[in-house]
Amino acid sequence: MDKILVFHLDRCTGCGLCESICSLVHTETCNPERSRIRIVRMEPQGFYIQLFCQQCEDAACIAACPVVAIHKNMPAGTIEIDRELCVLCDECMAACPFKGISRDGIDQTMIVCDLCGGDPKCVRSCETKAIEFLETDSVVLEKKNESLQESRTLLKLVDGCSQSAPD
Amino acid sequence: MNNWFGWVGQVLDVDLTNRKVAIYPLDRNLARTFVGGRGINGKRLFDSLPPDTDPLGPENLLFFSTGPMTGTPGATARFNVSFLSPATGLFGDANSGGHWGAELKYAGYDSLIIRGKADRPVYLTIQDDTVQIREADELWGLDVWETTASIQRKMKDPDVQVLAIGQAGEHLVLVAAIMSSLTRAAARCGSGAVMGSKNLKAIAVRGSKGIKVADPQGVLDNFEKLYQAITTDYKFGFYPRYGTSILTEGQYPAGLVPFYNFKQTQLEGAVEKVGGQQFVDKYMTKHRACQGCFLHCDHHYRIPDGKYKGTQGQKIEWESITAFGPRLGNLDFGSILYMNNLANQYGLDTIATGGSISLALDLFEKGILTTADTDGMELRWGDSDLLVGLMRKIAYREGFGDLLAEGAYWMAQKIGRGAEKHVCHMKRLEPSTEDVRGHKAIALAFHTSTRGGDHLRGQPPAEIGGFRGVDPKIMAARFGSPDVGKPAVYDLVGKPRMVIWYQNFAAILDAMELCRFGTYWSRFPVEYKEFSDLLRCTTGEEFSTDELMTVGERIWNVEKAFNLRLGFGRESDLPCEKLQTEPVVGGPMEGERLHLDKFNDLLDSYYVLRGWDRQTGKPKRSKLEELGLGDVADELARYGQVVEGQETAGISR
Repeated sequence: MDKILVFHLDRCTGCGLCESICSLVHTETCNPERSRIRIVRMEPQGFYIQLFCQQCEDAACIAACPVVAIHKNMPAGTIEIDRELCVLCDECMAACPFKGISRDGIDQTMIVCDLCGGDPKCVRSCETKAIEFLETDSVVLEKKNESLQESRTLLKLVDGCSQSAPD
Repeated sequence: MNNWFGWVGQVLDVDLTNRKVAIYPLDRNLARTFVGGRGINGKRLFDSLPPDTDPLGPENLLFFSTGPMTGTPGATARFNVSFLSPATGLFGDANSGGHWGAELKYAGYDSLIIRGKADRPVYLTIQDDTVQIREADELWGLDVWETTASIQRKMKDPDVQVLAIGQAGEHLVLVAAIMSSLTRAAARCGSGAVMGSKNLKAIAVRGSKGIKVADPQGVLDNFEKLYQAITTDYKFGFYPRYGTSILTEGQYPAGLVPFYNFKQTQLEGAVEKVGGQQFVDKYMTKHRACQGCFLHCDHHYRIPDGKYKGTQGQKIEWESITAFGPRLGNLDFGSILYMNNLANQYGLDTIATGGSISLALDLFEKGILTTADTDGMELRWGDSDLLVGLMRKIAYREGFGDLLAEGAYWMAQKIGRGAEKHVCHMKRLEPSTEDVRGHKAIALAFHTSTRGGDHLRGQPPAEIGGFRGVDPKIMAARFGSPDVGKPAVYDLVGKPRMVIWYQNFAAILDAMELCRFGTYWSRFPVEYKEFSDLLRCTTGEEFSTDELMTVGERIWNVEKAFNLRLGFGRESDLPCEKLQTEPVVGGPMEGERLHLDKFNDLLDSYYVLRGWDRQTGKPKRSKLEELGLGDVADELARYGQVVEGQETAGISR
C-alpha cells in the first residue's frame, strides 16, 4: 500500500459531493444511500464527519465475519467482500470502529470503498481537499490517526443525540 | 420502476383539510414545457388559483418543486415554493438551497403540493413511500432550530432534512419565511405566513431511492468539465472565501448600499466595519455548502466579543448584513449577526424585516410615529439593543411589533399621516437592499419583477460590471448598446433588452433549479449551451439552446399573466413616490432618482421588446401562442387582459 485516503474534518463543508460522485461511479445513480463514503452532518456545531473504510492492517471486520467473506486484497490494500459468501449478518458493520462498511440502500448488499481501483473519484471533486489520496509516510499516518480519533469522539456525540429521544 | 431520468417522476399531493395523501406521476408535458421548479410551480399556480383566492385561507396552495438536476453533482441543490402572496396579493414564490430539496428527490418526489388547512397544528414526515401527517402540538411555539432538533430526535435520525416555520410563520407575520437546513430561507413574499395559515409546522424528509440519470458517464464528464471551468476562473476564490459578504466592498463604491431607509449610499467606516473582509477576519469559523456544491459560499461564524460573545450561527448573506446594518444605520457587526440568527430561528425574511424596521425608524425621526405608537420606545438609528429587541416583537406580533409584522407597505397604509410617501416598495414588496435610483437597468428589473422588487428576478449584474468590469464590446454585441454599463443612463435600446435577457435567464435557472452562482450570472462560462448538455445527460431529453431561452420567456409570461388576471398592470410596474421624488443624498449617485417620464419610456421599450402591448403591458395573443400558451391567452381574454388580433400599434410607431 503506497497511498492512503486521509481526511480533514476541519475542511469538510458537508456538501456531500463525494457521496454523489461515489454512487454515480459505482451504481450509475445519484444516491448517497448507495455511496461507499458517507457524510454525517452536525450542522449546529459545524461538524461534518466522513465515514469510509480505513483499510486497517488488522481489520476488525475480517475478524468479525462468521463466514470468512471478507479479506484484504494485497497489494491494493483494499478490503473486499465476497458477495457470494456474505450472509448479510451485519457483524462487520457492528465491528468496524470507523463505520466504514455500510449497506447499499437499494439492493441491501454490503458495500465498502474500493479506492476506485487506485484513483478515488471522490478526491478529485473535493474542492477543499477535505479528503486526499496521499503517499504513505509517517506524517500522513499521524494525521490520519488524529482525524480518526477526532471522528470517533464526534460519532459518539451523534449517537448520543439520536438516541436521547425523550418522546 | 419508472423510466424517468433526472426527474424522479412523482408528485406528492397532501390535503391537510381531509388528511389525505395522494401520489401520482409527474405530467411529462409539464416537465417538457416548464422543466421544473419555479417553471412548473408557476403554471400550476396559474391553473389552480382563481383571482378571488384568500392568500391566508385554506384555498391557497403551496407548491414545492425541485428541478431535474436537483440532487445531482454541482450547484444544483435548490427548490422553489410558489403560492399567492399574502404580503403583496400577487404572484408569490421563494427559492432556497440547502439539503431539503435534494432529499425530497431522493425520497422519490419532484414536487410536493400542500392543500387545505389542518384543524390543528401538524407536521408532515416523508420517508420514501411512507408519508404521515402527525400532530405538532409539541412543536408549535418552538423556533426553527428547536423544531429541527426535536424532529430529528423523534425520528431517531440526524440525517432527516427538516423544512419548518418558526414563531413568525405561526403568527401569520407577513415577512415570515420558510426555513430549511436550519438557516436556509425560502424567504420572500410571506411564504412562512402561508404555511402557518395551514397549521403546518414542518415537513421532514428522508429519502433512500436516489435519482437515475440518463447517461451516468456523461453526468460525470460534464460535472468534471464545469468543475474545472469554474474552479480555475480567477473569480472563483470569492465564493469560498467570503460568500456574498464581499458585496459590501463591491457595491459600496457603486452607490448601491442603502443607509437610513434609502436616504444615502455612503457612511464613514461602513466598509471597514461591516464588509466581507471584516466578516472573514473576525467572525468566520468554517465553510459550509449546499447539497453537492463545490462553491461552498456559506459559512459558520462565531461572535468573539461584545454583548453577543460566543454566539454561533451559519449563513450570512450580503442582503441580510445590509438589511440589519446599513439600512438601519447600524455598523455593529456583532448585533447584525445576532439579528441574523434571530431571523433564522423565528423564521423571518431578513430583507423585509429590515425593511419594516427601517421604515419605522425613518417615520419616528420624521415625527410621523411617536412613542404613543411604539410602546413608549424611542426609535433611533443604529441603536442595536433596540433593533435586536424588535425582532421578537415582530415574530410574536407583540405590541408595536404587530404593525411591523405587516411589512413596510401595509405598515405605511395603516399608519397613514403621510407615511405612504416614505415607504420604498415595488408591487408592495420590500425590495432587496440595493438602492436602485442610480442604476436604471437594475431599477427596471426590480419594477418589472413578477414577484415584486427583487434582485434574484433578473437584476443585470452587467450594469455594475460584475467583479472586475464587463467588456463594453461584448455587452454591445449582446444587448445592442454600449451604454448598458453606464448606470445612470436611461438607455432605451440596450437596457430593456439586457433586463429581459437576465429575467429569462433567471427563470430558466430557477426551473432547472441551478444556483446562479455557478453560471454566467456570476460571469462563469456556464450558459445555455452548458445547460443543454447538462439536461441531455441528466434527463435524456434534448433541449436546444433556443428552446431553453423560450422556456425562460414562457415562465415569465405565465407569471405576468397571473398578475394581470388579478388586475395588476402598468401601474404596478411604476416606481413608488419615494423613489420618484427623493434624490440620493451624497456619494457617486448623488441627486439620482427615478424620473417618471423617462422610466415610462424604459417601460414602453421593455413592453415592446417583450411582445406586449406598449401602453398597457398586456401580452399579445400572438406572443402567448408563439410560446405555446394559448390556454393562458384564453383565460386572460375572459378578464380582458390580452391584446387580440392585429393590434401591433406598439411596434410600428
